[in-house]
Amino acid sequence: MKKTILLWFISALFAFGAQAQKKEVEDIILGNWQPSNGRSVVSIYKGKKENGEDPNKYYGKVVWLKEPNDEKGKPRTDVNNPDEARRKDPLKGMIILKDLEFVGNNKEYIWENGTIYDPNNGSTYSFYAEISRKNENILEGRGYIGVSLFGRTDTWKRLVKK
Amino acid sequence: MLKDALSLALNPKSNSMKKLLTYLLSLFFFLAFASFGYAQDDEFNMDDFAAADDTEIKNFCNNKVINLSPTKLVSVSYDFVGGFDLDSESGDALESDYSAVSPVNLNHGLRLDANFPIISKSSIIVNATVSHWESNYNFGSVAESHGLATRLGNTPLRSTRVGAIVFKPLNEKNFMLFQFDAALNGAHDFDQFQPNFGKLKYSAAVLYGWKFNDNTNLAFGATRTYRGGRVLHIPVMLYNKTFNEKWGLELLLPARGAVRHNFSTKSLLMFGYELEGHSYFLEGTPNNNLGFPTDELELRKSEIRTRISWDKSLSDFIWLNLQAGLRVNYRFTLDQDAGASDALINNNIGMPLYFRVGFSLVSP
Repeated sequence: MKKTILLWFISALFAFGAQAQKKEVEDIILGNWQPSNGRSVVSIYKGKKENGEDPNKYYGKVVWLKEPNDEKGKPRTDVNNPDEARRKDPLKGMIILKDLEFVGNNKEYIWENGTIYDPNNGSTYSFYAEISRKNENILEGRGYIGVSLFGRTDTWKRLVKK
Repeated sequence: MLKDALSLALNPKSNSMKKLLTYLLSLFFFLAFASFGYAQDDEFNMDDFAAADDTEIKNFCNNKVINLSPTKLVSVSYDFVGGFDLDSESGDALESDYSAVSPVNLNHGLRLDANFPIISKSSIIVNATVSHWESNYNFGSVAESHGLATRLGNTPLRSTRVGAIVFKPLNEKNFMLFQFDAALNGAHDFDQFQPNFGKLKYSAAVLYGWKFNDNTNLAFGATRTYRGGRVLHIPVMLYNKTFNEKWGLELLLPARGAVRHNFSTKSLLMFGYELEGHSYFLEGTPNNNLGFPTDELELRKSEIRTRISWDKSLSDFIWLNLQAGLRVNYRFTLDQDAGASDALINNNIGMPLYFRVGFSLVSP
């Protein structure tokens, strides 16, 4: 009986440990990221229920723009949005990355099934992200149509407080 | 009541008031810090942030300018050219005098184009290209002894091309562009088709360019091309310029050029031209006792499509393309082989109207 309880306890400990480790790995994506063109910063956060987001998924908000104003000196808005009603929405603060899910493991840090919105053309693409185990400060993000063959990869760099 | 509370609060000797003051001060500092923390989360200040490590990510320019017409990944289109006369006469390489005229009611054909990304990263883009174009000639009647009309009426002109395009940015400003393809062109039926790979036509281009800003790129280079109907080795220039939200210029000279008018990023109109051309292997074209020196004949076809073209997004990635314009003949000659310069038969094919409708899957 004692042995059974001990085994159960050890298994539970391992399961709890593995779960905690997985949690730790999937949250590596959290933080501020700068795409390779250096024109914006996207803050990736975990979904907030109060915003109607899934707390198990990851979302990305534009928190900084290199050129925050348009030619007229006014804050840039989502002028290319196919929905006319949303063309006055400010770009800064816009949630462009949605529903990204961790599908990797302790060896491969991969997030899939997300979407990313490109305000430059008003199109939304499927999105896939991968962070190398060797360097957790570099994210390879791929926006694509249908299958990932039809897409483009960009390298994002993590920003931290000085 | 308020007066009493204030007087109590201002009386430091009151114990209960000391507690109240401590509580209020604590509450004040808590709220102040909480709102400060919220403001920090909401107001990202770039000056407070830096890259997490020293890993260098080399920044590269991309191959686009703002509002550029969309890159088509897969396109299906159908081309219609209105009626004209195929007016043939002997060329300089033919000793005997010859002439024949046959009316063409409609010249039409399917065009399939694919531009698959093999590698698509900010540091390099490699696309595989495949295309298949057909051109059917529906003759109202074929004149007696009009061998070329007989041949074109029996089998459509077909062009199948396989190749690659590589965009290699060198840094944030400079880039190189490589293009290569091999084409199998001829008038053949697929059921009897024996591909003659010795007749493959190779085209290529290499350009070096500058991306000055998000609105302008420019490149110069050289190309080997069959757009003129016969092989040419000529300089080539690429220039894309967006003047403002509505207007731009897209040039790849001498192949094509257009002024672009953007109604929005999902709808644009282009006014311009494209030089289209191939050299088609026409083995077995009826000789009509004209004494052709060889059976290995080539139809050198080159035409300028002056046009108005409208691209409209139907959904995020599916676009409609409508074109209308004039097909201006530059070359339509029957020659001995790929290398000969003098034509056996010269042809005038008029300047009919043309129309094209197509659907495309466009690139991110």
